[in-house]
Amino acid sequence: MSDSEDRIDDPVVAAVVAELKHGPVPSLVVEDRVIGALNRDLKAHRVPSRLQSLARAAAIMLLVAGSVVATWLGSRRLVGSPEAIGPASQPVRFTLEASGLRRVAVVGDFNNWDPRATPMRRHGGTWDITLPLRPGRYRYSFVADDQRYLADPGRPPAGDDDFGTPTSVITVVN
Amino acid sequence: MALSSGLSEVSQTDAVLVQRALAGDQAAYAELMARHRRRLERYAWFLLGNREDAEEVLQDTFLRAFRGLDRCQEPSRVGTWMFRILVNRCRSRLAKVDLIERGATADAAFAVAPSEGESERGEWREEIERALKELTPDQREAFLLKHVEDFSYQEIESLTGAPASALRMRVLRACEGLRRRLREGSRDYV
Repeated sequence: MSDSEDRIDDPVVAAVVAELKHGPVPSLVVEDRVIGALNRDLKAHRVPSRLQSLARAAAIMLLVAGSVVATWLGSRRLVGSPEAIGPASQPVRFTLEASGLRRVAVVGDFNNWDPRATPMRRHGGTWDITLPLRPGRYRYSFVADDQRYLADPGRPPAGDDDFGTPTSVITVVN
Repeated sequence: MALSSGLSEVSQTDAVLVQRALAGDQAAYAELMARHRRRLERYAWFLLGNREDAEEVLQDTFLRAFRGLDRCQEPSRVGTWMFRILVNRCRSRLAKVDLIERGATADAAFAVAPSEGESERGEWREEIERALKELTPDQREAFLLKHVEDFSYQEIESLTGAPASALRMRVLRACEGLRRRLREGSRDYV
């Protein structure tokens, strides 16, 4: 950045900048509404402890049942393969060439950006996972070792990420 | 790309507050909002030109920031990260609403009533706000980020996605526009 780019020579513009920087700005009172909305979020996601126990038991039963079914179907029906998904979904493979990492997950619009939801599998220096996605536009990133967000070098960057995360975009079509 | 000016001054306390907020501590997040709101509300106010829209984008920014807080890669610079979200929210807002068409309502809401003895300054302020609104949104955005919020062109490029060459041109045009409009009748205030 050069000094000339920062200098304002014109007195009118300099006076405008001084007024905008140092003049009064009406206070926009939003904190209470934000905290109120966050409280509603918490209440909406809060599950009574008895229901939590029931949900945990149901999850374990589903896990066991899923394992039995998966064993019966054999190894050809992998998660995300065309046989295992609904007719409207398409299998989409995500891959990342990266060595020296302990864990990689894919996060995006399809899993609420939850780093625990979709861990990828390692095959040598390649991490991959295939997911069933319905047609649409999805923004996503890879999370390396629970710390770093990485864009997918094989797909275009998403220019509209609010959070500044290195983000790629994929469009799934029918 | 790292942003380094103004809000982004490294603050260990911000990082601690982010950690506490991530653990569900709303008081910590309220402190973060209070700490960074002044600059955020100034930008929203001058870019959008009316209270209703400025409050809505500021509220949306704080909510999105909280919900995406685990994606803030540099918690010690959470203020700049919030600013990035605000810039995007303002852009979306401008794309949805033709704010200029709000005319008199917006003018009334935008103006800051001068206190007694400050009427001259109040007129000057109104002149400035009118002149700002006559710029294109792109010009206003670039001018505010560059000269009021003191971001470098490299940082504005990162915030907006627009190339630095285009940003320089927008700032230049904005300065010319302000100079032309304000020289016509406001010299007494300068």
